[in-house]
Amino acid sequence: MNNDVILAVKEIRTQFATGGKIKKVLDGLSFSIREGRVMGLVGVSGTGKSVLAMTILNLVSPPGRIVGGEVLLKGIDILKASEHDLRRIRGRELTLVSQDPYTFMDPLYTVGDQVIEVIRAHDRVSRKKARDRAIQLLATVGIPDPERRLLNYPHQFSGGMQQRVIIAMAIACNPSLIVLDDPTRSLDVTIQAQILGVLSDLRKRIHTTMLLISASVQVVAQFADDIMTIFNGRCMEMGPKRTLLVSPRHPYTRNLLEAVPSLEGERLKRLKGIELLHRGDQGSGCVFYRYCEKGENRCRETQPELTQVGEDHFCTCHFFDGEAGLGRKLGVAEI
Amino acid sequence: MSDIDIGGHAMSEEREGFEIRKNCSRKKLIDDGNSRYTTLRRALKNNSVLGGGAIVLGFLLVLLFAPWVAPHDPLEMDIMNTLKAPVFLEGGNSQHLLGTDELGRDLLSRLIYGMRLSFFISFCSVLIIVLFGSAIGVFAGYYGGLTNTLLMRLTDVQLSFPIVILAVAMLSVWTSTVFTMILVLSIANWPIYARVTRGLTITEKIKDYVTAARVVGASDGRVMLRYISSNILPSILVVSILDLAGMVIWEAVLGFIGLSILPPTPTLGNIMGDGKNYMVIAWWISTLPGIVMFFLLLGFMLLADGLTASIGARGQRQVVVI
Amino acid sequence: MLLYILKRVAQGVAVVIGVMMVIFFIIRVIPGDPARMIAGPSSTPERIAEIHKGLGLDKPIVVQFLHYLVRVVKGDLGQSIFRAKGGGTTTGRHIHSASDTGRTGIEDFEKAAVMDLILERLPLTLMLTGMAVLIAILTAGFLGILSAVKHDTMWDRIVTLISIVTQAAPNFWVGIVFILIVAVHLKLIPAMGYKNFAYVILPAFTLSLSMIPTWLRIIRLGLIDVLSKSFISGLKARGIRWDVILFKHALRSAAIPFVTVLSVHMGYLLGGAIIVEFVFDFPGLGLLTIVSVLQRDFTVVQGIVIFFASIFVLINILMDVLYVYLDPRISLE
Repeated sequence: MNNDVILAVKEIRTQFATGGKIKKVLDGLSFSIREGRVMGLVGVSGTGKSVLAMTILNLVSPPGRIVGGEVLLKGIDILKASEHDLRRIRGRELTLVSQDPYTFMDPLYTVGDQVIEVIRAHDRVSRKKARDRAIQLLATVGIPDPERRLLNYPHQFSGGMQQRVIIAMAIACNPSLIVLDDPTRSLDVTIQAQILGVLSDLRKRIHTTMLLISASVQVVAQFADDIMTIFNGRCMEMGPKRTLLVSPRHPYTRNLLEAVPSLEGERLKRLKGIELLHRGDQGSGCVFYRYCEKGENRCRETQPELTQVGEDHFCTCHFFDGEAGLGRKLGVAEI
Repeated sequence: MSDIDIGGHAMSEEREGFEIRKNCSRKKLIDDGNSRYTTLRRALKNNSVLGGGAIVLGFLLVLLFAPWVAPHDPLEMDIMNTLKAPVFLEGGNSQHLLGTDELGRDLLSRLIYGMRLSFFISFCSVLIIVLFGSAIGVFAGYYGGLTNTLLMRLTDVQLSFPIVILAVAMLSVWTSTVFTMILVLSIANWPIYARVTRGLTITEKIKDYVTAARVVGASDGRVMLRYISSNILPSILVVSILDLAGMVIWEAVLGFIGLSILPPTPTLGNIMGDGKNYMVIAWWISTLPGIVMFFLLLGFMLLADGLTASIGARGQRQVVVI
Repeated sequence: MLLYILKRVAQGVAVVIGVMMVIFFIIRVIPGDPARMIAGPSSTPERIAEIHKGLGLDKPIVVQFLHYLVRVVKGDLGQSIFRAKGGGTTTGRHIHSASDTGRTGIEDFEKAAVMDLILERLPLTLMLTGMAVLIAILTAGFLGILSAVKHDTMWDRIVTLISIVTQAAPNFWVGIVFILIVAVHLKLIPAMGYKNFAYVILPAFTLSLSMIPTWLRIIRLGLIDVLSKSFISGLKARGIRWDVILFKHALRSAAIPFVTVLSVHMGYLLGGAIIVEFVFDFPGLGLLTIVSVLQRDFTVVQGIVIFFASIFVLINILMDVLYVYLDPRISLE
């Protein structure tokens, strides 16, 4: 394993037991993120993106259960760490920015209280020093008049400002990795741009490694260095941003990209969504089979494996198994 | 010309409105996962409902068949056998299973008939409270404004009296008959229902189906009666079940103090009240009625809990305060 | 904030006056003539008229009420009909003519001022109620937190069982049972009356039992609800300690529904105290109320009702203010 790999996720499996049935939300997902890079994870809604974020932080609660795999943060397996160690890692080495900023905070305490709380939970500093640092953090994420805003409650901030506060809490202790679970989901487009601006600002300043999960290809395309597309808890394709955007291999990735409106000539190109194309049972094959326009029998029957299709470019699709010159099946251990 | 035309137009509009209204309510019955049928089925599978229901049913049977169940005449005095102990204690005999009181009357029979009267008083008061209190509550909640403020202040005034004082004060000036007992209990407790119903009405009236009904032309009375009331009725009924047992206990408290119906007619309350003078030598007189009330309340509580669970999927998290 | 409090106080005063009107009219508009009762069965019409005048009953009701109102504002709740100043009651045969201000002239006995009677007994009732609330909060709090945190385990079921049993047992009956068991058979703690603090324990515990099941249920439900909220995972994700999460954050959110119910329960608490005092022969305000009612000592009953009402209104206002302090999201309206 490379020394500069911050996060290595290996074959994680998370299940949810609802109504007597077990739903495998994550079923053998693996990837890694190198230091200072931003990995963007794209997937349509409901494919387990938030579950992935919670799995990485080992915060999956019943009826969900993590049933297998490893999450290695700088070599330490989060899934096997003790509660005591986890408490020290979360919020300090590994932080989370969630979808809905308002419900991520306690509505009964001031924003200042909560930022200071995070600082003092991980660092032995005096109240005064923690307060100064909190003011600084709020300023860094672009909140005007931070000293006064410390005394405000979460409901007194707008959505975009709330998210900035969460980001401030996420960078408070200089984490090795920030996981962002669809941070712009509940914000409208202009605010979305602002938040992304804040994030890219931060990148320039502190070079943190980030995992950005989103349902929006545009967000990920703007911001990430590497992109991975997932569907139903499995990786479909991953690689550097440029490669994926310019020459996507997997039909799913193509679908995602084509779903972005663009003008062709002077007319809006017709959008192609992801529709159910093949009816019938899921079968034990590719998870994307039923929606795939290229789907064949072997797709329904056997699961394709992660294959290297270019430099740093991997794909899970039968159609690229034996591509000339690049058909090297990659075992997981080599990631 | 215009009159007839306008009249005709209005008529057909009303008829059309009526059709739409009918469709609205029918749709609601189908869409709502809580139609009476499914709720009933769910209720009958619920353990609490079954357990509580069994206890309550047992009581009701004993009450109904009192003349056949009670071994003696509750008013029959036997001066040779005063203050006899129950059969499970030393000195008891199977003649008087639960012993006798200070005038030789069989305690078991008195308890059975006492329960009957206490329950009757309770039932009547709960009926009045639910009808009267809820009606006022729905009015206040629906119309808001002045009616609402008046009601709130009125209930405030009444709730400022600890209910005990109110009941006690009233009974100090009225002689205690069955009628006055019912009246006192009703007066003391209706504000709670008014308040609760008002709250429920306010929650309901902003819901879409009410707006829909109004848009289609339902009159205020119809909305209140047909729509809002039928939706809050289940919650109210469940709470009132608890109060059935609650009022029995109220009567007992008042009887214990000495303000309930006077002997020789037995009520759970005055049996306890009589017995308090003999607590050391005949503790069972005051204690046994309490055990009866314990099981009664237990039964009703289980029933109410179970019913709330069966209905409750609607997400109305009302804390039921006893 | 200040404006809000003032507004509530004004409303409160209106409510208390309303209460006064109600109790005033109930007592005076009822069948039965208090004067006749005081005078006794074998009295002359002149005697009765004299008493009438003494009690100010010869004037129109509205005038009586206004006089009374003025006196109350000055802090004078009138005089007991039967109790003499130094304790001890009379049959009322020595009541005297009153001047317009309603104060009895001193001839044989001076009657005890209602306000004095109340203030004399208030500390005892406060002690009883205070102890009961303390016991109830500690017990309901402990059991509520325990069963919420250990939700769906055996602990939860045990606590629920305790809660049901405690709730089903009629409170005053439990008191009687306690007296029988503890005092008569075990002779450990004193049961009835009052001589020192030990006499408060049993009644306070009995009273607390009427509150515990409901409070337990609310704390438990509230806590379970809060613990499932997103901000709790947020706190965990930020690495905050579990005990801090529980006690600093979760409990504070769960306290809100609890305080709401608490304000409603104040009324029940006062009522319960009255009954408990009666059962345990505890010489507080409650016992005074019942005894006065049974004796038909109307002025005392009146005074106590007004006193209770004022306390109740005050507590409600305090609760409302507390509520706003607890939840920064609500604005004062």
